[in-house]
Amino acid sequence: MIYLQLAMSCEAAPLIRALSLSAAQPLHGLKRWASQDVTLTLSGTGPYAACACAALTCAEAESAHDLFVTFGTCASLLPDLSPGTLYRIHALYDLASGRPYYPDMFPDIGLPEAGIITGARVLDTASPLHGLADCPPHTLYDMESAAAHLAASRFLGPHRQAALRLVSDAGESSHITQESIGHMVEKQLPALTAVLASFASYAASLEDVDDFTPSDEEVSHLCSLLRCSESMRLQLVQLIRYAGSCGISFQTLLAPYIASGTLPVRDRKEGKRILEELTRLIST
Amino acid sequence: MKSSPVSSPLNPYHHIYVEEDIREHPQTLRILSRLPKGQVIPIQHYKDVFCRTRQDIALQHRAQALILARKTGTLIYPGAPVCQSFGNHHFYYTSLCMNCPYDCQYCYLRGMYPSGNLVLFVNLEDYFRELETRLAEHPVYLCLSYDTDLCPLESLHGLIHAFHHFLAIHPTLTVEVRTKSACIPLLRALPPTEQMIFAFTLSPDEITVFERKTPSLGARLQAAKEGIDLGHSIRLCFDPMLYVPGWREVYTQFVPTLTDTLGADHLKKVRDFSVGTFRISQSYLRFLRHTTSSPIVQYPFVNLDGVYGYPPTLAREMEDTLCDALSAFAGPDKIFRWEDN
Ligand code: SF4
Repeated sequence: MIYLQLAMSCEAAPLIRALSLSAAQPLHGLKRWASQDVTLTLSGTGPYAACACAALTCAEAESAHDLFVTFGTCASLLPDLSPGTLYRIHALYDLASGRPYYPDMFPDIGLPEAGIITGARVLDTASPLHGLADCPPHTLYDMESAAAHLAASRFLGPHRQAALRLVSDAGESSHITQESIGHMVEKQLPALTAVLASFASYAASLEDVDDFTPSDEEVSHLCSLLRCSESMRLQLVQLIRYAGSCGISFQTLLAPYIASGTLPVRDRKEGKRILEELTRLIST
Repeated sequence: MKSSPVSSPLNPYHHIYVEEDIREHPQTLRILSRLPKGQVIPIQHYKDVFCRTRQDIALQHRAQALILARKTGTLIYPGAPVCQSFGNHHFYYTSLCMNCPYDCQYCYLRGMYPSGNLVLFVNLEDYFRELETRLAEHPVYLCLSYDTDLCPLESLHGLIHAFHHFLAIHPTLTVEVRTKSACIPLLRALPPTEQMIFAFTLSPDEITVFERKTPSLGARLQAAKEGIDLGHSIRLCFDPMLYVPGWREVYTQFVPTLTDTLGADHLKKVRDFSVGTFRISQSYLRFLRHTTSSPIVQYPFVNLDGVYGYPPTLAREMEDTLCDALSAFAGPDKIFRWEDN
């Protein structure tokens, strides 16, 4: 599942149409649209709204195949960057706390890249924001991305996060309307949907490491058969993991002991002997 | 989503995170000039990238990002208890980088670091300064690549060449360059000296399958052979020996491969041999086991004073088997066993 987070409905509307998303159950009052592969949540504007929404969303993203992707418009800090360019963000810097965040850049999607600074106020070139001069040399500015990803990082690793930003202006936001933002997003739909498809196939390729850990029920059943102490229990769990990694079924190993009535054992000493025998059998 | 994916696999060092403080350091400029396609991202401190939580080490290893940084604090460390000292009293090791371009499934670095990305420290001058302080007191035996492999990236960082120059003016320094590479161009480029030991880690091909991205046994042996021909000081390391079902056969058949490729004359010229079974500290093993389901690391090791390894009888049997086979061409004074350390 791709969990998409956007701040404004004018940014979201073209994507909702293009991805054929349907209205879904709100997330603690936050509006949502969803399909089988994508869940889009509207956070509202500003870092606090973005942070709260990201935390709620990422707490849901439990599968190793879930990605958290933010998208929205932003301002350029360099006057020569042309509005309408879509960037993948490789560095996010939170102006208030001075904390950076770096998502992993998997997979390669061929978009131009930039760093972004997130502040709590609208950027105004007429009265530049205090502290901006001390920031790293990033080229973009918005009010959500760093906050969202710093919150998301409490739940998800950097390989399961991505940020996309579309330049709308160079800090002269007076002429920007909801309509003009909608048009800009509309123009980027082919690129955006292709990028999201790439993220979907990347997410599907992410693997859970199967360390062959047995279930609690299996362990307690085997422990009762072998009358395990705590240290024997730990030894048993690791032995089951090792057997699994070698493609050996532990149940098959135990079958003759159960058939002969050796298991369950009479006492712990006997359990220890059998555990050692099993260890020798598969690991020497 | 019906559009076709636009992604393609990333090349190694696709992104290069550079501490702003060393952005203009000559070594940084050298490395960046050799990676013109890498996307450079300025950072304050390497830990901001390297120490992020919940990183997927295995995934990052498939296409490592590079981090260029300045190393501060202690730069030269006394040898750790799990290191083979080869009888040297003043045995030290250093970390010129964190992580390794190779990706061995059993590598303890996967249990030690929170990231699979590669950090290269550029302030070599500080390492040399600290080394000179030690050298003023006593001779130094320094392991350059105890916890990495520097050889495959020599054309990028030039560190082995830099140490080679440093050796020429510091005759009481000996360095060991441990490698799983087939570094023939490097061996050809450096004039041989007894002060620089190239230590090739060799494993049977049944084991090299667990050593991702490394050259085959045959390629490593060819490099060792050429090193001997060129007059380099060559060490052969059979460490770590790994348990696989049928290990006795695997390791017994391994030695004839060695003698067939190298030949008796070359084997006589090998400086020494080291033999040791796999061992790892308790804390690293715990994390390492989360990164892979490989039986090599899921093995039910036994804990001996905080170091996990094979049951002592098995470890001894494995080492004895290999040492017996090696004794056909190497006297006991030339074979260093981990157990004798
Ligand atoms: S070559 Fe050595 S340092 Fe590198 S991954 Fe393999 S075991 Fe680790």
